[in-house]
Amino acid sequence: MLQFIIRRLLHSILVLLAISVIIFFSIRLTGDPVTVMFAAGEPSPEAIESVRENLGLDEPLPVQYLVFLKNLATFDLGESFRTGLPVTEMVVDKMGATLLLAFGGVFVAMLIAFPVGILSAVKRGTAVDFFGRIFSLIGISFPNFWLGIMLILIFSVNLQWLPASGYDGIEYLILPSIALGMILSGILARLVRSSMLENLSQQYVSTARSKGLKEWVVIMRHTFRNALIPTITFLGIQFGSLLGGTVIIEQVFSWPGVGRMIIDAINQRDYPVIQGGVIMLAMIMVLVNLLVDISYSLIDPRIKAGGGSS
Amino acid sequence: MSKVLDVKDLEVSVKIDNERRNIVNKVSFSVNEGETLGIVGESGCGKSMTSLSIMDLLPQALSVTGGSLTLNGEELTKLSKNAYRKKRGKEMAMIFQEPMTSLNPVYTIGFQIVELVRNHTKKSKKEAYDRALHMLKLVGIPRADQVLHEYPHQLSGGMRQRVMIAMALSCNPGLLIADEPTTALDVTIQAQILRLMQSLQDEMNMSIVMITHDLGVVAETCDRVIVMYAGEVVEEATVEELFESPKHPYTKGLVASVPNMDKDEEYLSSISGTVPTPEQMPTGCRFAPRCKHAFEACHQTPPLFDVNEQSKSRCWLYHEEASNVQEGRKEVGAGNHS
Repeated sequence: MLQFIIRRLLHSILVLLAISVIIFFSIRLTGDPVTVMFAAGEPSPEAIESVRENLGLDEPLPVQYLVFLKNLATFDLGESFRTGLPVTEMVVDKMGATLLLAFGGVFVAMLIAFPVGILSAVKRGTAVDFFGRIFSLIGISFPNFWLGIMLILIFSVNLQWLPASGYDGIEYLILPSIALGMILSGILARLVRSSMLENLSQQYVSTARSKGLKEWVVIMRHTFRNALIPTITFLGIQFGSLLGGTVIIEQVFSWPGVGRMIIDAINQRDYPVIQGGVIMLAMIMVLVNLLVDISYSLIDPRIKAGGGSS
Repeated sequence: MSKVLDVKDLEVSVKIDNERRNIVNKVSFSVNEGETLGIVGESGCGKSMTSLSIMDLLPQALSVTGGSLTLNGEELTKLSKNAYRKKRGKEMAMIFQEPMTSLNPVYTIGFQIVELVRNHTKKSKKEAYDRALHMLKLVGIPRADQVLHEYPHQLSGGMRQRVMIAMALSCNPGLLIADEPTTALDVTIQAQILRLMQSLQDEMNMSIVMITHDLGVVAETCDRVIVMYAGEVVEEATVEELFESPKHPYTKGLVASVPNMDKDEEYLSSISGTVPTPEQMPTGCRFAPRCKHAFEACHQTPPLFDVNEQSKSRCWLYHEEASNVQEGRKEVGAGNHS
């Protein structure tokens, strides 16, 4: 197990290295940050040069990258061009809110998708199944930003049940979580349905029935538990796109998270903040995938996390 | 001997294109206390569906549409779903063909047996685990106390089938339905499992319905046999009578297709053709299209004739007036077989 985790961590470092290269060089294709800083008037060439020097932008790109990498190794993500605040602190400060939103989205997705998927499978071919599948299709088809705006319109503006923006307590989490989790719930419900159907036709389900167990025990304990295995894999993979989704949802709901920080930073070409934010999101993503891999061995006894040593 | 299970005119049907078709047609048989009844036939002849309907475990598309099932004198077809459920595992149990997939891969052996025991009795967890351990030892599982905490994938196919038997018998059911219990096992393991079932049968005084297409298994374990073809019982006989003098042409074909070591045959004997599907069921005798003895009478559905005390046969050859025909045909038949 320990060996497995170490190997996966080493693997993760390679992934993060690759991501750092892509981010570092791709944001430098967007233009000169210094020109944005002096947006008000026409600066003198000397002024521009001194700002460049200050920010370390006068060095050749590979040198800049190596400096970035060196600092990254000590979790120093540099300072914001704009505010001069340390990026590491900024990101850590905002990451909590983003993760809360992401898990809120996953929670909403599971809350909707598990019952819908299970019922659809058990009542296959009936009206329940039909509506379950229509629901999945609707869930998948709504763009999350549009859904976010609609939710605000209905529940905040018209009904005034829930707050529309900001974060100041659990009720603020509800609408953004729904907006974020809806698409995922649609896809997840389909997956749960097909996975349940596959498992319902397994011999051990007949065995469970032949034991005289109650039908819900057969469905939940014997079928759903097995159907959960591919579902967990899928959730792990989808967590990445969910984090991506937070960038938009945070914008819609003025959520004080990393996503909104990155968007602001992009508008201002604040390189260190963009780099830092994206790298940290990538790290979270890698970590979640590792946790998912480890959780397999808890759900499925046939998988030993040691890999082949069983 | 009292009847443990009595099946009368059982009909199981499937809905195809809004039309109900019987895949089990007027099947009747009974199983006495302590007896092993074999149900024999090719794949698709309805033997598995017959057994699943006794357990009320038919797939969704199928349903029992006629006849009666009586277990220990109690009519099963009139029971509510819930009352039926409570009989499963307690008064009747079933083991399946595929030991590799019959156990749930994510739970330990112990958990799966305890689950059954606690479902039907008021035993505490500790008592239920003791019962599970006792059953595992009874079916001859080495290091049973360890196996209790192991998962199905850690056991071989033969061991898993032993676990299935231990589980099925953990609540002392009077009736065990075994659907091809040895088909998926190695030949050497097959004999062990069959012997185990027989010794447990003697010990627990239980009745067994043995569903198989393997006549070797029948010879080894059964007291009486019913032969099914295309959803109907075509022959019912004691096991001795079945092998010594099979009556129905289909049974004769089955017995003849068992490889014989004493004869030097180039090709194994077989019955040409296949079992008809429910959509293309022939009228009259269902076996007639594959039967080399078929004659005019076979356009009518034959009843089950009492041939002698030991056997019944659903074939017009056993009609009184057909004795002339029968004599003539028998010679033809004998000539073809040797």
